[in-house]
Amino acid sequence: MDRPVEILLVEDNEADIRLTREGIKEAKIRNNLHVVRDGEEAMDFLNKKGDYRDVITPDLILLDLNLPKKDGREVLEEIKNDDRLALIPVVVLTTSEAEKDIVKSYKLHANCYVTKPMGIDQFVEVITAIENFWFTIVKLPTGIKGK
Amino acid sequence: MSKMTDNSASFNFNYLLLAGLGLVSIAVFIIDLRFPLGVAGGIPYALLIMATYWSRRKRHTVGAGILSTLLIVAGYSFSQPSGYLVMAVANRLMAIIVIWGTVWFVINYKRSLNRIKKSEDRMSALFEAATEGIIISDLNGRIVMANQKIEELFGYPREELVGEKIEVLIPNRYQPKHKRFRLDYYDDPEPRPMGQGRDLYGLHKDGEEFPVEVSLNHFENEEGRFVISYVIDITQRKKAEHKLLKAHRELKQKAVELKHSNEELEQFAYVASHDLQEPLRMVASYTQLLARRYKDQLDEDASDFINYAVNGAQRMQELLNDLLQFSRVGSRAKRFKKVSSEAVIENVLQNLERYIEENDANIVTESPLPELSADKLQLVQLFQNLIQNAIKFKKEGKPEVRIKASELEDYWQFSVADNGMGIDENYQKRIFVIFQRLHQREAYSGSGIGLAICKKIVERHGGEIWVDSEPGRGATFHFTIAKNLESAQEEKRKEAIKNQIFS
Repeated sequence: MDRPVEILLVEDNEADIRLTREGIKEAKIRNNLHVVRDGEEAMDFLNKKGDYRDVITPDLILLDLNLPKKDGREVLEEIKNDDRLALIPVVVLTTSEAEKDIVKSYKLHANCYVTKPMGIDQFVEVITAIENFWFTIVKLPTGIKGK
Repeated sequence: MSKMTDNSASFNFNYLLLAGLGLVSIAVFIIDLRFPLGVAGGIPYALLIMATYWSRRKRHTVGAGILSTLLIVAGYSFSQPSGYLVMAVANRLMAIIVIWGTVWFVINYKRSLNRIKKSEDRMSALFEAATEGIIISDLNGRIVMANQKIEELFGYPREELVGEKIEVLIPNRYQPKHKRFRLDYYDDPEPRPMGQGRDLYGLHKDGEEFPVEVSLNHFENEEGRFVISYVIDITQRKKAEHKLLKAHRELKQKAVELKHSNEELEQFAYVASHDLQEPLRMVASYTQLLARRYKDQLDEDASDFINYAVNGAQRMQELLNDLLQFSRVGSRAKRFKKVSSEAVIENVLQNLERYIEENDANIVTESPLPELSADKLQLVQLFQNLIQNAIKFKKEGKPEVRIKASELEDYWQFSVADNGMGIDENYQKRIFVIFQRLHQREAYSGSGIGLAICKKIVERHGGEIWVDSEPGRGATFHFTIAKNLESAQEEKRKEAIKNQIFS
């Protein structure tokens, strides 16, 4: 792939944002990480509204479930109900191990559900695995990656 | 004392009576002598016989008969003969017949009077000794008779009651109603308990009210119709009922509160353990990141410190996870379904397959194992924890675990026995407490939650769990599962009420 992959991280916890950034830094794939801090910002980013008029549509969304304003479940629902956005893989990346969160996410068509691991090594592993999986293993419709 | 005076009184009376009879007989004899033989002068002796009615003794009557007969015969000898001899003899004979007829009559009359008196005495003893208060009243509601118990209950001597309206025994506010009910009863005087569905109260002479139970009946004789009321003081029963009701209410209240606080606690444990993971993850992650990035710049001490910090965080995470799991026993409980315990064991053995192999353990199940009404996932967890423990705390040599079940009246009792190191008696209760460990962390892993979860699961199934063990001789964990959870809980509730009342 010639251009870096665009990743949108929807996360409100500063420490987690940094951790994801650090994890991604160690990953092999060239990427641009965009960060938004609540659900409304995420939808603005995806719909290219307001400050986000000029952003690129992301290739992958890392979505936390517990967000201020509009929570992750609503964001997920809106993405998957929108024809233009539905094809973007959404990885729910959260601390919740609650069965009902997992079930709910898949019902809303999350592409996968990952719990944030405790150690940094495992965290880096998870991030790398996500990238590897979605950008080298999985075949996605060309519309998404190429745009 | 009183008996003696009675006796001497009747003794005196008897003497007076005998003296009177003597005088009468002499008088009659004199009259008889004055009349000619043809006159039936013996007939007045019948009065003598009748007078013996006042004596209780039969022999007085018979004696008077004999005396009269002798006097009649004597009168024949001393009187002036006149007219026909045959007439005179017939006259005397007739008088004798009348005398003995009267004797027979008086004796029989006395006997039947006696009989009536005895039966009356018995009836009145029955009436007086009754443990119920009994009042007999007429159709106007006037009290005709009342027994000893009524005097005790209401505090009136019966002389004061007889002739009064029965309403004096009833609190004012019930009196108008009572009159109406009384009239209704005369229309349909079937025997029945009074005031069905209502609480009845009696009014003591001193103005005190007390709860009563009254049943009604009626009878009729030549004097008219009467109503019988049987009155029982139910103060004690009411008190007991009240106590029982109160205990029941309190217990219910407590159960609700307990359930509430339990739910709150579970929710708290769930939220706390869940939310605590988040900052913990930050501590662990960034400490590790520090180590990773600055490995080369840190000395050995710094690396050690970082290690301790990371280990601590990880250890805390385990604890939080266990706490989470513990809280889920209640909060994630499923409805009970029919579960085959054989299938449960099979499931457990599958889950533990590697662990069993690694430890070269031998698991023996003594079939058949019963079908239960239970939460299957929790049963799996229960057996899994017990079997895992049995293998974990082994002695040298091959661990062996035996599982069996026996049927009790209301429960199934299971046992999981091992040949491991056993548990000292002092610790046998403590092992079921959350986060209690008997061994050093370095020797055995785990946070000490397993048996606490087992206990919680068993209790949710209406049962109990305990252990039999001696150090070095293995341990046997027993637990019971109620066949019918509801009746087991009902049983426990009753037990609790009993304890509450008698405590």
